Amino acid sequence: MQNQTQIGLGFRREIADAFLDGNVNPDFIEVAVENWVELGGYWGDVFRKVTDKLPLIVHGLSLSIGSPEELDYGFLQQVKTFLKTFDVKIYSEHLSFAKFENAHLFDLLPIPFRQDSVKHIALRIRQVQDFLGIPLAIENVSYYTSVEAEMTEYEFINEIVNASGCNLLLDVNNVFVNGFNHNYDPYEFIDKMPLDKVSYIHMAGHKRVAPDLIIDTHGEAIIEPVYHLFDYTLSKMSKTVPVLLERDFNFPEIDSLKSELSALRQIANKNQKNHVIH
Amino acid sequence: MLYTKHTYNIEKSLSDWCRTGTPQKLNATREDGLKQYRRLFRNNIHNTLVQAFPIAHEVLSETEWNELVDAFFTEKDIKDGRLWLMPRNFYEYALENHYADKFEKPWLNDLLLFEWIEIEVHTMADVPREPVLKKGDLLEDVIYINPEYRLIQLEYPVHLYAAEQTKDKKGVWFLLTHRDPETFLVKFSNLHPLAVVIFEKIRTEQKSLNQIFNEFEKSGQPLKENQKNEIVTFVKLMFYENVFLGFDSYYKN
Repeated sequence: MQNQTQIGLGFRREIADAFLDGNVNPDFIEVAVENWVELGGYWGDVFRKVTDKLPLIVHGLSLSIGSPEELDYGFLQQVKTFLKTFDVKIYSEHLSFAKFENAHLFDLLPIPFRQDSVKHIALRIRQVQDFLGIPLAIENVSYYTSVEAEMTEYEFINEIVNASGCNLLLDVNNVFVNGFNHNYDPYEFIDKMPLDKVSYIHMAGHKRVAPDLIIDTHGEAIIEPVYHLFDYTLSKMSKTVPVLLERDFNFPEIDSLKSELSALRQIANKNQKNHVIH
Repeated sequence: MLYTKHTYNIEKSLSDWCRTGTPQKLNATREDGLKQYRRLFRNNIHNTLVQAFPIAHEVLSETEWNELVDAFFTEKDIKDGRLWLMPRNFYEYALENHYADKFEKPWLNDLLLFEWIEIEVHTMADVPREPVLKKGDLLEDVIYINPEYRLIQLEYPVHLYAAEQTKDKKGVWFLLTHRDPETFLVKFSNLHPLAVVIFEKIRTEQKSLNQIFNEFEKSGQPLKENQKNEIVTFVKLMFYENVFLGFDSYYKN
């Protein structure tokens, strides 16, 4: 149990040296399990060294909670072993689908916000949680169109969380991106989130590719309005949860990432006094 | 599955659109957003494959490369969600669908396999190693092989020459690819067929070199002295390259 918000940084190969030599020293790291499970050789060795130094939170890319087919229990067993090996307390996945009929797509597609989707996904989340023995933290994803929705995004997320008993990985940048792309107020959206169920927060940068379209790239620095939304989110929360800075490509000098980590810590500390420790 | 057929079909259409680029009947709120998905998905596959197969990408024409990548993403159902394994599916797809013949580039399968093997050996899970004796008799003791390797047979020596130059060198070529346990570097060794026989006998039968030489003699095909010398030179080289790591303590008297 920590008495201060834990600020983490996504562990990526491009910046691995900075973790190894201590040039960047976040409170924890996060990886996508698919990129590191059963990896040997040089990167297996690096991963062991880094996880010896820093606590690990595990994210996922390929569980595909929104797929129609059965869960891949072979993969889930790999995840379970990985979580145990590295003493991981949080495993998160996207509220999306990344494969269809067992064909992986290697990216995230939006689940239709529909009533039958809620039932289907809540069941699958419960199955995952039963198998792994820990709650799944499900992430609100950025999406660039919705298809034949029967409800709003916030209703969809709330219903999923309520029906499954899962936790929420709240990606604040995704709220901002979606608010921009789909014309809603991100602050009102945050108000409608089940903040008591948030167990983890993601922060990242994005790229505006058209006057009315933002892509969630994780390849840019966090912009000021997203920091403000983060500040607002923490001010509405009554507990402290880990916060991750995601950066997946277009890496800047490590000092820039450290500045972003500091900015996140400053905002977290400012809001700390109102929070109980999670 | 608790999806209705309708929701199932929406997801199918989204998936089909991203894989094929063929417009689907989708009641999307943002058509431009839909286009972004296809662009992002296709770029992800393309970029991963360019990184995995830099030589093949270089030697295939842009049209050939794009045709192969697009057909692969459209038709091949990739069963494993680990992105680093996806290039193996790409190699298998090209092989199964005879792209070497289609493109009249007979060395293509070997080139893709060669490039994939480098990734596999670099990244594959560590293989537990037995305790080995560093000192021993090269001829009398059983040699312990580094378990982190792949031995493949090629028709075209794409590991020795530029792919286009291998057209008239069709034959039987053996490539040993291993991961150095000290540096983690991936190294390649072109093996003579006799060296492959010796390597396989050591691996599968756990015999010393002298035992192997005696077997040749008993079978009525004794090795000549120069062949034995070549084998000893090969074995020393394999020790130097960390393909052979020492002597098997289990078999050592």
